[in-house]
Amino acid sequence: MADNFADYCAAVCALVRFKPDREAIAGELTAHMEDHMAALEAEGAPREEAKARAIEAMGDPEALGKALDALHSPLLGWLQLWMWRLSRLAAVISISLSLLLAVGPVRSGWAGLWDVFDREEVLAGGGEVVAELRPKASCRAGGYTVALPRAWVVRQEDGELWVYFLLRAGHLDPWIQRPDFGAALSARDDLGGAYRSRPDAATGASEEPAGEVAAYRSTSTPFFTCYEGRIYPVDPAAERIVLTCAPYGETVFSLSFSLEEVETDG
Amino acid sequence: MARRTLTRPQRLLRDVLILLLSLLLLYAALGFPIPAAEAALRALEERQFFSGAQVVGQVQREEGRSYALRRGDWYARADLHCRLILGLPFWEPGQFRAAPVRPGVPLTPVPEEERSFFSQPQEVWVFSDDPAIASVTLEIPARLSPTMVRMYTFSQGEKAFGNCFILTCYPPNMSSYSYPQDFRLSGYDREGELVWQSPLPEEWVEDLYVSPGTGDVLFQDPTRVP
Repeated sequence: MADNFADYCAAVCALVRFKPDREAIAGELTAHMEDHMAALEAEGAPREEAKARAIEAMGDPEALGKALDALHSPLLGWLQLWMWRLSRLAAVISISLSLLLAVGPVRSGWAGLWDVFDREEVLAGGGEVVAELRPKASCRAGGYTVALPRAWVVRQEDGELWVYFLLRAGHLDPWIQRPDFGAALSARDDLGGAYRSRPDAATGASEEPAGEVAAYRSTSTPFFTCYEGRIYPVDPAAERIVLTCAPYGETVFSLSFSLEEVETDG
Repeated sequence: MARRTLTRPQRLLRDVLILLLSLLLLYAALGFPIPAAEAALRALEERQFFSGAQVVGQVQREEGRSYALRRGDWYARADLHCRLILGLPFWEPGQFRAAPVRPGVPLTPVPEEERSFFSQPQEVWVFSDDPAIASVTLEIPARLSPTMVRMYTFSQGEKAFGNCFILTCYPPNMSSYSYPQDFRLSGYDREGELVWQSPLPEEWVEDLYVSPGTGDVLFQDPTRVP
């Protein structure tokens, strides 16, 4: 029989194959025996007798060791231990790298998330806002949901009317971020005036355009991309604009919005 | 309240979830790299609204891969870039250029990108819809001075794949026209006979001297020098 708690624990843990658990097991057994010894001492038993009785009460160390070994599977134990190490390492690396990679975008691109095309930016080039629009125009185009949430009608200093707009393409698939349709945009007003982004020789369009459409990508995230654009000069008598994207001669999407300052459906 | 002690299987499950979330965060931080070239090509087609295109050929490159696509009456060139992350290849959509097939025109050029033709080496992919055309020639003038123009000719007698000729145009050390559409394409049959030739670009007509007898493009007419 073991003379002390340490010898008893050593005899028990020698049969536990998963070594990393031995220290915890020894600690549990020692605590249990110390509690029992203290209880016996409280009843008046001498210290050495209490210790011996506490050890004896634990039973055969070999039998106990085998039972604990069955509960502490080495396979599961090593698997959990390495998974703990791997998960912590992956967490540290991914969080560190995310913070590191976020510095650049926060300074440049992602700052654009908060720097949304707004009234101040529209007026930065001069002019007076005639109408501030919140069209509800949206549609599906392939894997994208394209919406036109904001637009402004601005009278330039030379009297021309320009329409500024914010276009947003949302997508669940981060692989298709940054769709490219800025150069394929065109517009037409309700008076028949056409506005093009480039000479549309490919589609054989021959009519003289009333003005131009220009758009560029302003913000890009894994799940939505924003474009800022303008249509100019717009016929002052025009009441409605249809913005169309037709990169290969066939319409990909078309958004219609009113130029009057009321909420309207697209 | 006593802290609930997790069993070993519960701790294992917790650590597996932490590992998966960490890898997901890492994947997002790296910009959602695409593990397969085919998936990257489909993503590029989707971004360009060119989905459903047929792959007519591809060229392997050191930095990635270039695909030739056809969709309806349009040819396109789609470039993919390959980068290694932890030793594994991931693909990124790159440049995309498309050009329409014009009625009655057997050669459809797709330049590399719209920039100064002579600023650096440029590939022009020329798709031929005429099986009689066995070789293609590209002519482009480079302006040496206000009064002198030199014609550069690049030829390709072998198709890279399918119906596509790839002409690699190397730059001379001089200025030039700024737009790739200012070149003239010619297609020849196996005997070297001219099958088809594109019309002279408008800029050429304005700035170059075209011999009325032979139609050859010559140095700028000295009488037009200011």
